[in-house]
This record gives sequence, structure tokens and C-alpha cells, in this order.
Amino acid sequence: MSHEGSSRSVTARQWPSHLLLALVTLVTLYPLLIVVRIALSPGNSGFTSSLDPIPEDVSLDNLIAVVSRTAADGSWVFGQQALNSIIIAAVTTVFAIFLATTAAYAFSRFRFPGRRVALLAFLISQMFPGVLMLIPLYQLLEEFGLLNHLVGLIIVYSTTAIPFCVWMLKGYFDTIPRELEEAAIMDGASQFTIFWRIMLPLAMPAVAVTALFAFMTAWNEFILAFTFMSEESAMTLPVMVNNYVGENSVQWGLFAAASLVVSLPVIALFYGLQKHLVGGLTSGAVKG
Amino acid sequence: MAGFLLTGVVAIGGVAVERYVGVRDTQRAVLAELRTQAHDLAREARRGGSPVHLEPAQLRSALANGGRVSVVSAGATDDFGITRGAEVSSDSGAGDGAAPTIPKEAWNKRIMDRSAELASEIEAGRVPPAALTQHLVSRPSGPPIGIVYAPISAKETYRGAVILARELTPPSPRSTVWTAILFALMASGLLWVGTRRHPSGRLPTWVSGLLVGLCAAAPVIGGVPGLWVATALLGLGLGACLNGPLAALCHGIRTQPSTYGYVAPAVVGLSLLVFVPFVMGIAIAFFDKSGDFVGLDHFTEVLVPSTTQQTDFWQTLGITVLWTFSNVVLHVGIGVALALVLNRPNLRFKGLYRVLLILPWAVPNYITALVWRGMFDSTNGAVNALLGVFGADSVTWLGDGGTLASNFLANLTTNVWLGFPFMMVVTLGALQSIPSSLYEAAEIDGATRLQRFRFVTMPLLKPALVPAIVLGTIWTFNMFNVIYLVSRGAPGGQTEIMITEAYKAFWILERPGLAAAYAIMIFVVLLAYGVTTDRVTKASQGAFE
Repeated sequence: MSHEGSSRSVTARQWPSHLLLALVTLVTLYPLLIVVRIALSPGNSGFTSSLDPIPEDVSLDNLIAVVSRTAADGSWVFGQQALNSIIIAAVTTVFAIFLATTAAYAFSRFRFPGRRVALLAFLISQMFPGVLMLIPLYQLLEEFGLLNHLVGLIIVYSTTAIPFCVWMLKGYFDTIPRELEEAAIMDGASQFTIFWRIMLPLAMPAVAVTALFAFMTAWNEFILAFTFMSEESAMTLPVMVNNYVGENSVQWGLFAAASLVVSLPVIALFYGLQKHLVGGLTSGAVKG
Repeated sequence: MAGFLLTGVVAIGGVAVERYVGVRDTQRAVLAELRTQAHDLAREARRGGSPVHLEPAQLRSALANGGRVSVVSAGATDDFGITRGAEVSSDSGAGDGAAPTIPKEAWNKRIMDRSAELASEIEAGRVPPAALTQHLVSRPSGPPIGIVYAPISAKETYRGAVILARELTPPSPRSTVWTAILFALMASGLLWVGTRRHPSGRLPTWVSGLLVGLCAAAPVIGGVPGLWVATALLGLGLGACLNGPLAALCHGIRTQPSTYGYVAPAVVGLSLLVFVPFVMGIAIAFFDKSGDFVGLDHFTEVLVPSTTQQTDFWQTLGITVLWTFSNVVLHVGIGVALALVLNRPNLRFKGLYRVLLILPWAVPNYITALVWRGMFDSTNGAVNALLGVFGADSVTWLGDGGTLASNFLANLTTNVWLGFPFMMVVTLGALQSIPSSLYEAAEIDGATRLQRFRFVTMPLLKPALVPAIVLGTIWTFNMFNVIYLVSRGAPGGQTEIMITEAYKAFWILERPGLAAAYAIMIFVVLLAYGVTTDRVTKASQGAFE
């Protein structure tokens, strides 16, 4: 890289960047630290006037209460709900990414009748307010007996996630130079080989970001899950968190603990996908 | 081929809708007229002393001949196998499930028998007083019969009732006029679309005029068959104007099937689970809770300011636009700036910063919205505690104690915090794909840092950022959780945005029709936004290429 020669002066000039980033990071993290503090504080104390995000006494009572929650019949309802969330989010991700990568590839690389209309329809579908879809979707799921069924939510989540995934992936595919495919065509590669062996690996950073999005949509979604899943054993974790929020008051300790439990898997996933977000595969490929 | 199919679908759909709406209109009009008549007759009978009695034979013949007026001595409580007291409602057909199996003669006899019984019961004073009431009875064959009862009372004693029955023959003159206007409008719309799409295939003005005229006149002149003619004409027009694109589509599927194979699963899934519910949702806006067709009433209620509403639509729209604009500007500004800083070569702790800065995106937003609400609390909130550190006074941020600006600012802070990581990640992803050779070339050419950003980074970020900004705008516009959980619309509903108003209509007022009407307005605004950005900035041009 051309920058290497001047790396010393670059490092020296980094302190304004670090100052800025540290400040922004502090502001960003603070509300989350507050959640951690409330979750780990004993009792249901909630907010205090202290700015300090470190809890004075650490107690796991709230976390244990949330995780060990059982139903009236003694079954471990938290475990069931966690399993529901995991299954729904995982299957949704696989399903949505499969449908979206293929569609986005075609939208990016081929010109065909109906392409513009379909792209526009995908974009317009994002403009449909959720409240408008709620009643009809309920009726449809009821019609097919999919209320209180994981399958129902999986189908709804994957289809609603598709437009975003397609647009993001298409945007990314567009930035990948065509020379790579042209070279592959010269070498006699089939259309599918090009997609599977060349485009998909090159688009890995975007696929990772998009998969993360699809996962989070399914993992965090509340209103549809709240409407379609009325049985406690069919609920997902976000609906569980809502149990601790009353009409006028919030059981802050339990709410924060439950929030922590719901958020940790996604945070872990973010951490795990770091290298995909970083991996500059395309630039490397173009240069090589 | 596909054009013909479309023609058929449009024809059937058009006639079905027209007949349904037309019949309802007619029935309403006839029943209203009957009600007035019955009322007048009842008053007359009251003044005249004794109610008019119709012999059963007279009533029967009156009913059989389209039943103009029948007056019998009968009570308002009915037991004709008909639910009593209901307004004309959707269950009028289903409510008397026994009716279709009873022959017309027997059915008429039942009314007469029961009327006689009621008459004696009324005279004995056993039947409770009842108000003017009406009902619609569908029969196994022929048009339904509308029946109106009006009790005849004098000084608290019930001396009988007026029963008017009339066959409801569609369509009434009024609905025919509407049909003509509707069809003329639809025909002109189709012609306009067709001309725009295929400028070369433009029809002579007199032909278009004739077509529109025919579409409008056919239902007026020809009744129901005319309706079919007009709808068929319209369908042909639609078929013709879609014929080019459809033919192209069929050709495309034949010549490059694999391309459509890539796209089909996503398109089919989306059609079934997003577009079908959307159309169903639109239909809900035209009906009230009990399933009665209310036309555009819900839309008028949304758009026209009234004293019963807490906020008016146009103010809410203004707040929504301000909310969306300020959010998106800050999201993109902060997101891109942070991404550029993070993308600097040799920056230490890059990965750590990145993972920490993404965190707001990872936590469900209804959780963080609630936490921010707690942080803006006037006594225990961290925001006021921080202000206190700098010696500033505490501010009442939220609720009716705060101002519009303070509540709005609290919402904005929360949502900017929630939204910038997304833009940052999108920018980072796009920055990765910019070959560093481009920067090297620019550097060799003597481009300054600013020039490199302006002429290398910006153009290459655009393909990824434009869709993200468009989507971000739409999402922010529909960001329900933050408003609902942080400011809760305070003060006095002023920070309410359109989507929260729609949800309020749905959950609190329990009026799905009104909520749907509100949601359609949201959709219209977003669509207008999409179209104008497309026109003005050609923003999506790159995205469609």
C-alpha cells in the first residue's frame, strides 16, 4: 500500500480520530451500560440520579428470575420461548438470504422485461405501513391454521425481509466489477458457477451484513409476534420482555435483565461477523 | 393471451364491485323512502283513529306485485324468521337462514299469519312498544324485499303498525350515474396510461372520445348487460395497454428462463404475503367495524380537521416530515463521518470501535426507547444529571410538562442514536469495495484529500448509499416505537407522527377502517416522496441501472 511509507506520520496524526471515536463510543454505550447496571442491581430499583454506570451491588437475582421463569403448569417457559426465537430467526435468515441473493444477482447483472417494475415493487412494498398489513396477515394465517405456529412467523418474516435484503445486495453486487465475470465466462464457467463461485464469495461482506439484518428483524420483531402468538409457549423473547412492562409502570430490574438476555445473542453475532464486515475481498481481488 | 386473461379478470371484478355497491345504494335509498312513507302513514293512522287493515289477500297481492304499500295491524316485534331491529346490514342475507328454502307463497303467508297474531297481541297490550325499524329480506329468487315497520300509537297504547314492503330492484338511477362517471374515468385513465407507455400507438382523439363515451353510456343505456359491455371494453383497453409489457415478459421468460428462475421465488413470496395483504388492507378502509360500506368517510375523517380530534392531519404531517428529514440527515451525516474515520488506514482499535458503535443497532429498539425515556426523566434521568454537572438547570423533557421542542428533541436523540449505526455499516461495506488503486491514482494526479473524497469516494458510495437513504427515510417515517415509547405524543399529541396516529386508531379507538385510511395516507405520502426524489434528483437512477 502506498500509505505504508508514511505510516509514522499517519499514526501521529491519529489522536483527533481517537478522541472523536472515544467520545462517540461513550455516548453510544452509555444507555446500554445503564441497562446492564439496572439488570445487575438487586431489586427493581430502576433509574437513579447517579450518572455512574457501574452498579453498586452486583446481584444476579433479576437475571435468574427471568431465565428460570416457568409457566403455570411448571414447564420451563423461558427455555421454550428462547428456542422459538432461535428457530424462527435462524430459519428466516437462511430462507431470506437464499431468496434475496439469487434475486439481487439477477437484478444486478441481467436486463430483462419486468426488472424495473419488480425493483420498484420491492421498494414500494417497504412503504406499506405495518398497521395496514396486520389485520389481513392475521386473517391469512388464521385461514391456514398458522396462528401460534412458528411456521407462520417464519414465512411472514422472511417475505417482509426480502425487499431490504434484495436492495442492499443489489447495491453491493453493482459495485463488483464485471471484468471478473467476463474473465470467468472466457474460461467457460456456467451462469450458476459464476454466481456461486465468484459473485457470492466476493459479496460475502454484504451477505454477512444482510444476513445479520434478516436475523435481527426476526429476532427483535415485536408487534407481529405479539399479535400472532397468543399462547405463552409459542411466544418469542421480545414478547416475553414485554411481560415486565405494565400499562403505567415498568418492573425495571426484570425488564433490564430480560433485555440483556434478548440482546446478548445478537451482540455476540455482531462480534462473530466482524471479520466479514471488515474483509475487503473485492479490492483485493481487483488488485490481484 | 395474457391480455385476454386480464380482460376477463377485470370484467368480472368490475361487474362484481359495481353490482355490489350499486345494489347496496339502491337498497339504502328505497328503504329510506319506505321509512318516510311508513312514518307518515303511521301518523295518519294515529290521527284518523283506527289503523287501516289490509286483508291477507291484499297484502299478498301487494307483495307479489312488487309490494307498494301494505298496512296491517301488527306489532313492531317481529317473528317472521327475521332478526328484528337491525339496520340494513351485512347479515341481512345470512340472518334469516331459513328464508331461501321457503317458497314465496309460504313466506308471504308466514308474514300474514304472524301479523295477525301480533295484531291481537298488541290489542291485548302484551307486545312492548318499539320504534320505527326496518329490515332487508333476501329471497330464494328475485330481488330482496325491504320491509319497514312503524308502530301506530296513541296515548301510550299501541294500536298496530304500518308495514311497508317493496321489492328492491337494482340498479337505481343514482348508482347508474356513478357507474357512468366511474367507467368514464377508468377508461380515460387507461387511455392516458396507454398513450404514455406507447407514444407511437396513440389513438386519434375522436376514437378515444368515442371509447370513453361508450364506456360511460353502456351501463346507463343497457343496464346490467351494458355494464358487461363497458367492463369488457375497459378490460380490452387494459389488455391493450399492458399488451406490450406482458408480451415482452412472456418473451423474456421464454428466452432467458434462468434469469426469471433467480427472481421468481422472491417475487412470488412477496406477492402472496405482502401485496395480497396490502390490497386486503386497503379494502378495510372502506368499511366500518360492522362491515358496512362507508365509502370515503374514513378518509374525510382523517383529512378534515374536526373538534373531536386531538390533532389535525396537516400538523401531524408537518411534524412527520420534520422528524424524518432531521433524522435521516443526522443518520447519514454521523454514519458516513464515522465510517470514513474508521476506514482510515492503520487506525488502531478499529475493530473494537466498530463493534461498540454498532451496538445500538443490535439491541431491540423498543428496549432502548424505554431506556432513553428513563434517561430523559426529569428527576432521575441521566440527561438532566449531565446538565447538572455543567451547572445547567434541570429540564422537563417529556410529557405535557415539556414543550413541543423538548419532547421532539428527546425523540430525535433516541432515534439518531438508534439509526446511525446502520448508515455507518452500509458506508463501511461500500468503502471496502472501493479499490485503493483509485486513491493511489488520484494521489499521483495531485488530488487533495477533499478532492479524493469528492471525486472518488462519493461517486462510488452512491450506489450503496442511495438505496439505504431511501429505505432509511421510509423506515424513519414509519418509526412507531420511538414516538410511542419516548414522548408518547406529548404535549397534547403534538409530537405524534402519522404512523402512531394510525396505530392509535387501531388499538385505542378500535377502528380498523380508520386506521387503514390513515395508513393509506401514509403510503400515498411515501409514494409521492419516492416519485419526487426520482424526478428531482434522479437519485434512484443509479440504483435502477
